[in-house]
Amino acid sequence: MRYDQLLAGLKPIARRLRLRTGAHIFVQTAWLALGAVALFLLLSRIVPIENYLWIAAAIVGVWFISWLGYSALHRRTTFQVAQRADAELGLRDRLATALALSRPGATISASSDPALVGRQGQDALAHLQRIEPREAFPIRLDRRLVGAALIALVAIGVLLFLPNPMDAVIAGRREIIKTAQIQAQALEQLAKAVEENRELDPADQAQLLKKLRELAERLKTNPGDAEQALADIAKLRETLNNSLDLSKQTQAAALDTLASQIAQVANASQTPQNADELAKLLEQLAASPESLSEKQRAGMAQALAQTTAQVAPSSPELANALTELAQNLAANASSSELQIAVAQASAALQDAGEQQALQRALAQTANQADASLRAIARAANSSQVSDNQSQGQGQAQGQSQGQGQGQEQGTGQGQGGQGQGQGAGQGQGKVGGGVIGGGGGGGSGSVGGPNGQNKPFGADDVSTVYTPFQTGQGQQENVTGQDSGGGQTTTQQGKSPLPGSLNPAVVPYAQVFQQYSQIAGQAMENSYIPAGMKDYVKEYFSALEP
Amino acid sequence: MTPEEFNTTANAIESQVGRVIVGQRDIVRQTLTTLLAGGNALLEGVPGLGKTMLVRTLAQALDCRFSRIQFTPDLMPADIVGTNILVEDANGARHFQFEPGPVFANLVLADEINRATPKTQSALLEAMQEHSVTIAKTTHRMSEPFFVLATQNPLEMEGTYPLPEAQLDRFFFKLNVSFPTTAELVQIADRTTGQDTARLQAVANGMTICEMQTLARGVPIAPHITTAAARLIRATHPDDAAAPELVKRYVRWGSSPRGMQALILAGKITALLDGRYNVALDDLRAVAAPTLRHRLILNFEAQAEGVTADQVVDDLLDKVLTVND
Repeated sequence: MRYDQLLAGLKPIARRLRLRTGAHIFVQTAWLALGAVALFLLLSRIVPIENYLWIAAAIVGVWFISWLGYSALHRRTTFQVAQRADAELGLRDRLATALALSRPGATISASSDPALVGRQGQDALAHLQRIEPREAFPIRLDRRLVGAALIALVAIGVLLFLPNPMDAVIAGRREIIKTAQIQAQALEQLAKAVEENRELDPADQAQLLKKLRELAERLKTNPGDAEQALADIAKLRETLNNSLDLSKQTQAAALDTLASQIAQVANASQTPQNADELAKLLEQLAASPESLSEKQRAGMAQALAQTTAQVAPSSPELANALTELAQNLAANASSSELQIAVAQASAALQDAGEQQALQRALAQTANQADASLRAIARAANSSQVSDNQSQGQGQAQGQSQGQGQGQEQGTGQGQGGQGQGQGAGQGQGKVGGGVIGGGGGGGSGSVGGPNGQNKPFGADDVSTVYTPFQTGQGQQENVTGQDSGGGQTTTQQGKSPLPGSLNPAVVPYAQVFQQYSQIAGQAMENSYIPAGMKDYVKEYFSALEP
Repeated sequence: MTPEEFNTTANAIESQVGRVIVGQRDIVRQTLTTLLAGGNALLEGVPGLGKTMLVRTLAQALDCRFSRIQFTPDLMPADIVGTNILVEDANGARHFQFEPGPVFANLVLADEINRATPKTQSALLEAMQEHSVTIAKTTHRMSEPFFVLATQNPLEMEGTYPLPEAQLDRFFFKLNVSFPTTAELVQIADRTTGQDTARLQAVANGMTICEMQTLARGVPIAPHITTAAARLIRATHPDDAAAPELVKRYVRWGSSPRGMQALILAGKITALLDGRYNVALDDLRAVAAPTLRHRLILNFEAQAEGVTADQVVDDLLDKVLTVND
């Protein structure tokens, strides 16, 4: 009975104490939590932090939930409430003792006088009934802590109201990540294509696939660091530079020309499209040498001899095989001798075919790498970054773009030059080229005719671009064309910063465009260019005009 | 006896003592507490502080038989407890008859107890603990209430014998009598150098004191208070896990269980004197120092550094006797 009375009397005190404790803890921790948020928001203005608003909200949320949980779970027992009331109200353990002695099943010392126990309970109840919880346990909050919390709150408001300069940096990072992901997908698609390419030597294929997938993986995991992404791509690009062999491209062009000439001489219905088909055509012709006229034999021998000179630097075996075949044809050798020579040439041509396939794959990879470089550089440039970061990224962009641009030009030249050579078989083949060399890893490149892959920049792309060589500083020489028409090859050598080195050649796009456009115009005036192709070149530069 | 009567009587005794003893309210209260607990008190202080006067006054206020034993180096045990003497009756027959010593009184003042030899000091042991004296195989009961109040001079004074530790433990309280303040000294001069001397009125007798003792023992104590007292006593031992650093460093031996008994009993009396029917932690705090100061055996390091038992007790109260919230 008395126990129940005590419990009933202690309940409002327990509620009041819980409220007071909750309020105290709230104030004691609020300034810490809000101060932490304010500091974090301040930090987010110095260091770019992704989702900083959510993190700040999470800090507040965690604090609030912790406070709520603590307040809900940390409840005093009735006995603790009695002890607290005794201590705070100076009741000298009256309530706690009464509660302990009146509790059902409580063991009371035998020495205790029952009359005194009863009087103790009455005394405790009398004191308990006089307690007014609100007055007895006032909620007094520490003004300093409340002030600190308010200051932190105001600071948070100001920090949230003012625009955060790091937002632009974060947006730039996101753009870079997105671009890197896209480029990684493109690289994976290219890897798939390389994997399905049956013409490649398995070892070369595996090596190339490994590089492509490594780069794709690195781009996928890139945290928005443009410098890192550009460096990763530039590293692959440099590797490709070392693997790309311009002489192989020359060899391919020569073999294409040879295929065309052989098909023409042999009156073949279809021109061989690659070295394998050329080998088969030669085998067919060698199978029935009597069907070849003297003139055809002489024409074939001459074509083979011309090709020999072109392929000799890159493939002496092929050159020897073609020379032997040419000599056999010229000497009107017997059928068996001719077939042996054709078999040797055929084997050499198949090897050359594999090499050409590898070079094509490498070129495709290089093109993709260049495209990735440009895309990431564009993404980095488009983001609004702080001065320091802008400077740093600008350097990285210049360096990486320089490598990519130079190689892009080289690749384009190879294809463009090939197209010109075929088209102007009796006339002049114009090849504008820049040879870039140097200890830091030279790249070969030339200004080539426009093609689909060779249209990287629009007027609105970037404000500065990399120039692979400085026009006007190189030597210009005219090389007599290989074709019967006495075609002329214009080679221009320029000085260029080397891949991997700091690149000072970052110049305004408009200036680059002007130089290139001017050179192209002069080249069209000084060289024989078919009228249709002139228009094509003009349209190309019109599209790029800033 | 009711608690109210207990309070009234106690207040009356204190009031009567206060007519003679200037100041020293705590000492008076603690002396009364010792009396009501049925224990014995040891008062320590330099000569002339009114220790003897306090006990004498108390005896006058209680209407009890009072005796005073002045301890000296040549005092023998028989001088305290008494002895059998050969007597001759009217018929000329001779027989031994027990002649009680001065210890056979209700209030015994053992003045300057540390001036006697340990052997003589030990003569008080049985009387203090058992309230009886055994002489020649005959046990003689003391009349109740029996209260020994010993005084001693500080040990550093010459010609003193430290009390054995076993005997120290038998004292309920050890009270340090401090020097009076200036105002108190002035009041002492007024009271003792004039023509008038205070005439005390006996406000209680031995029976009343016994009833008060019985009532005090019946005061209820909650388990958590008893546990707190037990924790406090355990913490006085340096090898206890809960012992504070000061205890571990300076205490050689802690309190005996007798210390806990004294603590709780003194707490009960303090509660009653305060008009309450329960023992509070504050009561334990109030009596902890006189209860424990002579039961803590400090080591040499403590003596060398001037650390007192009271400092150790204060530290114990701060660190052990707290409310768990």
